[in-house]
Amino acid sequence: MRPSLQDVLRNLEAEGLVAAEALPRARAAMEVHQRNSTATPWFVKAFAGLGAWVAALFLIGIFTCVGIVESEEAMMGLGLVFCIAATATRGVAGGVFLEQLTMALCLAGVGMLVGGIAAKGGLRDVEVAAGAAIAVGAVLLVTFPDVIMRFLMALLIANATQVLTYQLLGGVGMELAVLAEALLVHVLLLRQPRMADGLPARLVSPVAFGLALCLPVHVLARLWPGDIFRVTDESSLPLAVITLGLTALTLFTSWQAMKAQDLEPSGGAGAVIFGALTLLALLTLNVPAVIAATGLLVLGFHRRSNILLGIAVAFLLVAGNVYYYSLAFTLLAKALALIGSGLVFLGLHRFFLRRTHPGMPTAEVR
Amino acid sequence: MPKDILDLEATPERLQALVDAGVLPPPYLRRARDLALAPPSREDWQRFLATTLIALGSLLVLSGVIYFFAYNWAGLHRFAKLGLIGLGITGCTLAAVGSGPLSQRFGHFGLLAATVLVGPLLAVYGQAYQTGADAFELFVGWAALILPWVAVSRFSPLWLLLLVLVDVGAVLVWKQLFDGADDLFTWWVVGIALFNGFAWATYEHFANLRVPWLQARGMARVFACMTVAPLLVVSIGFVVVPRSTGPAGTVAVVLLLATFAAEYALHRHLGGELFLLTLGALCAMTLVTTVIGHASLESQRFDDVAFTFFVLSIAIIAQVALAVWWLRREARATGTTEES
Repeated sequence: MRPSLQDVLRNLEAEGLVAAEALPRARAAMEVHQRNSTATPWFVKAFAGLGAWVAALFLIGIFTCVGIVESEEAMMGLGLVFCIAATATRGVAGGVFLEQLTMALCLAGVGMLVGGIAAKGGLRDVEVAAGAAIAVGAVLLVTFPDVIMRFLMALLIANATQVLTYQLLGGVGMELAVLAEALLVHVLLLRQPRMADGLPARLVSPVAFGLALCLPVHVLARLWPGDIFRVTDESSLPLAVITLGLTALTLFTSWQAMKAQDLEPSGGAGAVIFGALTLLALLTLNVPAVIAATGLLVLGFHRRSNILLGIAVAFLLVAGNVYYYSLAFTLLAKALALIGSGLVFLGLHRFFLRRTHPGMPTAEVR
Repeated sequence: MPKDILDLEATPERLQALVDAGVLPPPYLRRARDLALAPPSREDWQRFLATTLIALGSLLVLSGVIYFFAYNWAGLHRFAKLGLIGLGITGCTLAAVGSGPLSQRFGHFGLLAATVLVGPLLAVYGQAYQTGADAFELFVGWAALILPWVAVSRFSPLWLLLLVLVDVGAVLVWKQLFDGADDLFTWWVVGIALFNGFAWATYEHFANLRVPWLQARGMARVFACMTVAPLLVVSIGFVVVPRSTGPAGTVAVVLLLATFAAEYALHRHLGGELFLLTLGALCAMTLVTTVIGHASLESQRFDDVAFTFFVLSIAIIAQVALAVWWLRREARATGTTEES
């Protein structure tokens, strides 16, 4: 989805910033660079992360079998040693084997450290364990120089924050944390192009994608209250408040996308887009997942991220199911609502095509 | 390797490499990054919105039809039931044909809707006339009836639907015709894998012949996963309980190794298909780890589970390290991008 080197160089050439003969020289430079590059696709990173997780579980299993887990202090101490040793080693040494070994050791260390703190305090000190997880995750996020580890630590921090806010503030805390999570995803990815080189720029992608993966789970969990969420039911923000917060975020992202297209928000197109999103939010006021998913969809396409688009599409499908399941209508009314809304979308599609491709009946529109 | 190396995505690392090589003046790196991170064009947004609207619209209408029949199931006369579904199929097909060149995507989704509706039509027919048909006859019949549409549609998701219907039908045949016979199970799974593999091979063959609508790699990867997954399950069973899997287990292992070879050959032929290599590496790692774990547990007393865990953790780390090293080497050699 993103521009190629050719696209960028041709644009620079058109702006007079590089000479025409830059392309052949760029070709030669890239041949050399590719031979030394260690860039890998996302699924290879996912494979490496999965391997590290499984290895970490087996490492924890070893200490479980030999009885170290019976002493919380030993668990915590060993976990801390593993984290420090793995981080230090990763910072100075390279190679694929060491990368995997240090990642597995560090994950095992995090598991034992946080598990030891949790076991020491018992269930009354869940917030201590959650706080420790957030602190450990934050330190490793900054110090461990690996994008997969940073992504996993973002997941850890996001989930531990949910637990901590639930312990401290009940359902209201969890929902405020969800809103903060969504805000962070949007702001980080919208600001990413303007960030200068450095640690903050390197943290944006793993953190934003980690939070984007957690957001659907945290939003949807709120909509399926069970025994574990009994407190959430009693002291929670109204769902409409959460929806309005997420709507504001989606409108902001849409505004940024329109600005990039030189579209005035106050113009015709802007009014249609804002109106449609607001209408969607009002129609799904009690199911914030729908507008949250829509916001991720807009953000994912605006930032040209296939991964974020994939998350958003899956989120939207589940959110749609939750919405229609939640409607207090008969099956007949639901059926008519679905067919009606579907026909509206199909009608909008035809209208949209004719507006954007007027007088071009023989042109293929994909 | 892509046709032109400059067709690679303009990542910050590559732009910095151009600066280091003296191709891009350092003061213009910022501008180059702005261009590389530029948002989609207005035309891209229009295509995206059009696709989203039609996908959501089709999905909502189809879901509504299903809910409608769920509500009216008992009350409708059988002719009304059959007539309504028939009307839906006819309408979707006409819409697909009538959309013509204006919206190929609209036509594709119309045809998808029509093929999905064939299933409820058969189900209602079986219910209305109490034909006593087994469930497998529904799925096999559904697949047979939509085959002509799938053949002319030039829309690969329809091929996936057909494959899923055949697979489900095959499982139901085993359960209903052969009473779920245990001795047939592994052979049945291998058979399904072979059929899925045939679909995958067919896709790759016609993609190689440059059929335009088969150039996207997404569907080929799905077919590859559907081929490899059943073979892996039987192979793991062969390692853990060889008596239960019998000769089918051996065949599954051999076929799994054959898929590894096919994945590598495709990767080389296409100049970079790292997803398939990763899939193969994951399967190989799973199988090897299962062998090591099983052998370790079989040879040790129960008290020595810790030793098994130690061996497995080292084995996994070593395998992942080796696989990632190899995949990165292949990525460098073929120029596969970060988001391939």
